[in-house]
Amino acid sequence: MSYALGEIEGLCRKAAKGAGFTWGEAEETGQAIRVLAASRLPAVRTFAHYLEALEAGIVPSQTCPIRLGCQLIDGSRVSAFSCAFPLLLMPFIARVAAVQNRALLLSSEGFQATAAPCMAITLVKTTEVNCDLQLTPTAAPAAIARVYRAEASGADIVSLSQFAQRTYAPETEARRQQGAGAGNDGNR
Amino acid sequence: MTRIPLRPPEQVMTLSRLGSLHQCRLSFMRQLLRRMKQENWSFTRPHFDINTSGEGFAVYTSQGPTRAYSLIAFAHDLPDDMRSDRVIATAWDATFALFDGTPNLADIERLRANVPLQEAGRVSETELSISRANRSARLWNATVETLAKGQQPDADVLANVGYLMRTTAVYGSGKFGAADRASLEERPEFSPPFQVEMLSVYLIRAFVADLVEHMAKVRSPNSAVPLAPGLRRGLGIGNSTGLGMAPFLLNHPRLLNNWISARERALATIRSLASADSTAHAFLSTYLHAKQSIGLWHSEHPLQKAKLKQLAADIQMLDARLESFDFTQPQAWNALYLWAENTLSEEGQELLVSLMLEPHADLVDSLGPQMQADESTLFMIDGAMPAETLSALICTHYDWALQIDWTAPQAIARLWYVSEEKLEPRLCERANEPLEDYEQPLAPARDICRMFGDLHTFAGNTAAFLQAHPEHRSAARRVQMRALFPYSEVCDNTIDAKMLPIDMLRAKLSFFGATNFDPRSDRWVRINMFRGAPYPSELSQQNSDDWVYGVVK
Repeated sequence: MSYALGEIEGLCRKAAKGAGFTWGEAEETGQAIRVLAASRLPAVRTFAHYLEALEAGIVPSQTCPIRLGCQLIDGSRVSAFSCAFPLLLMPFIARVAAVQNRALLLSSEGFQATAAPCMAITLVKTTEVNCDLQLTPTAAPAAIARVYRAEASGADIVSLSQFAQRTYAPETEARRQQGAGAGNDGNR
Repeated sequence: MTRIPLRPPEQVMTLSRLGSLHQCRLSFMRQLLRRMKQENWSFTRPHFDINTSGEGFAVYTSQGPTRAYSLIAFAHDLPDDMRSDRVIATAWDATFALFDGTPNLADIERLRANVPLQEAGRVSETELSISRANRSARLWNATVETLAKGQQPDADVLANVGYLMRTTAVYGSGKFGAADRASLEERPEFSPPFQVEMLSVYLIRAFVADLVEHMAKVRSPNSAVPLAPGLRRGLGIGNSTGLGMAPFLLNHPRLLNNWISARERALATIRSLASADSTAHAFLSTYLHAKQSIGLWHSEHPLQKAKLKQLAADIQMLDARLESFDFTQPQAWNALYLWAENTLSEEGQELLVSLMLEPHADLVDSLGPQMQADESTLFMIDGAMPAETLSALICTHYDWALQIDWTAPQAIARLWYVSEEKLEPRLCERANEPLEDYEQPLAPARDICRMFGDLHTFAGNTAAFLQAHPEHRSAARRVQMRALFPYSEVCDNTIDAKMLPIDMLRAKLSFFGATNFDPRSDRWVRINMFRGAPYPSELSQQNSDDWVYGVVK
């Protein structure tokens, strides 16, 4: 199904929080998935798989692309590092590329993608496994048209919604009546 | 002449003052109507297919210089016992979509299967907003009945309510599959904020007036009459707004900054004027109109009743002051403002500020488009900033928050959460509900003070601090943002025992251009939109922008 990028950003922000990230990291995550999706990349699927893998303990939290991405955009000067699901690192690399006003190539044996200063991301090959990555300046890739929609499968949306669900408080009749503070006088 | 500085954020951004703001010529519905008038937009009603039970659809198309936008309205026959303003409602008297262009019948059929369901339906990128409205049932029925008999409804009764239908939600910005706001940002007609939503409501108002006349006509084809033009004009669209809107000001700091700073810059510019000679007369005329329109502002809620009583007292004092006020003195506008600041309540002061903007279109209106903010990219944290600088920023800009005793129960009495059922923000008493794990990040003052405590013992830069304390990432971003965007932060504790969510609602709704702010509790309100505005068919004849103040009787 087709989603507005804003919907995807909101869902991924809540899913990240539900999966254990802080609110500040969750904000970065929502934004990151939006940037990936705007470059027509499989943003929702990759993020859903990542949270599922994290939850299952298949990927160690020390190689988290979100936390590494936050460090990168905060100015940590690293050029070689390792992380799982490196595609999720690319939106952060794109923000660095925008700040440095030059294209950056992130690569390893199983992964290769370029971020342009306009934050467009071009993917050559990808992997979900942990890999040692190199970040190097590169020639700007050919321009790609930005999109404002993201395609996502029902299964991936359900998966992310389950993580997001953890941020919602269970409803009780008392909360239902008091939380919004509204009486029902709809006929007045 | 002295150049008057902007009012400081600590003065402007308190909840009590934000909760006293009034619409002004920068308000978004007034920007919309000015643009449509200047650009000579045309309006048509290609479909109006409503049966005798009041069910069917209508299309209202507005044609601008390069694009058309159509309101598709679905009218329903809703039993009285299903009519609820609350977000938990599942059916409404009317449901709407704003369509990008002119819809064909296939578009209408697709939307007929989804728009009446609202949140439970799904729309696409050709829809810019979805919304719904309920009748003000007693007034609706009485109006249909009276018009059907060939008579006009009682003017006072109509004026007391001010609308025949009220919207209970207007969703834009990609909600439920609609077009993403970023996809519209290059369209000049949508460069001021909330223009999609304002256009939707403006066309809804036209539909509602047509519908009530239509229902009178089907009830009694031979005797029914249309609403008298003056009565029709005095009807706005009501709106019920609850807690769902309250966190907006906290979640959109750059946008908030741009709204407030536009109004503050306008005020400072006018206060700095050497002379008031050329605009004093127009100001006094608008003041007369405004006093009368404020007379139509009623509320049963004790909080608002007290504020309206104070406003009435303010107006008496203002009357007396203006009687002898010397508009020929140097910097007369500043003198008037300073008198108000020392004499009137915040309600009265902010009313005066809005009115002082009125006769200065040449100085004020160009600030309108600057009220938008590009929020598609998160504010980037300056990781190189030393932790002690971050700490110093807190001391400079959040001293008011540092003064709060955060160990006191009343300081942390409230907790914001999102309900599982409707995915809407809610507020509870922290001590009564075990919801800490679900707390939303809507207490920036407390969170920034918490960060301040951890910064105290940290040596290094912000990047290193956030690596060690990722829980402070959101707070660090806000503090750095506040340094660059002075009006981005509400200068009050948003989880205090005495915090009134309606203050946040009032601030946002005033920028929409809403009037007749009528709280129904401390956390939801009814308002009126476009009351007194020319209808689409009248817009080209409207020569001035002061419709919001009505006509002096």
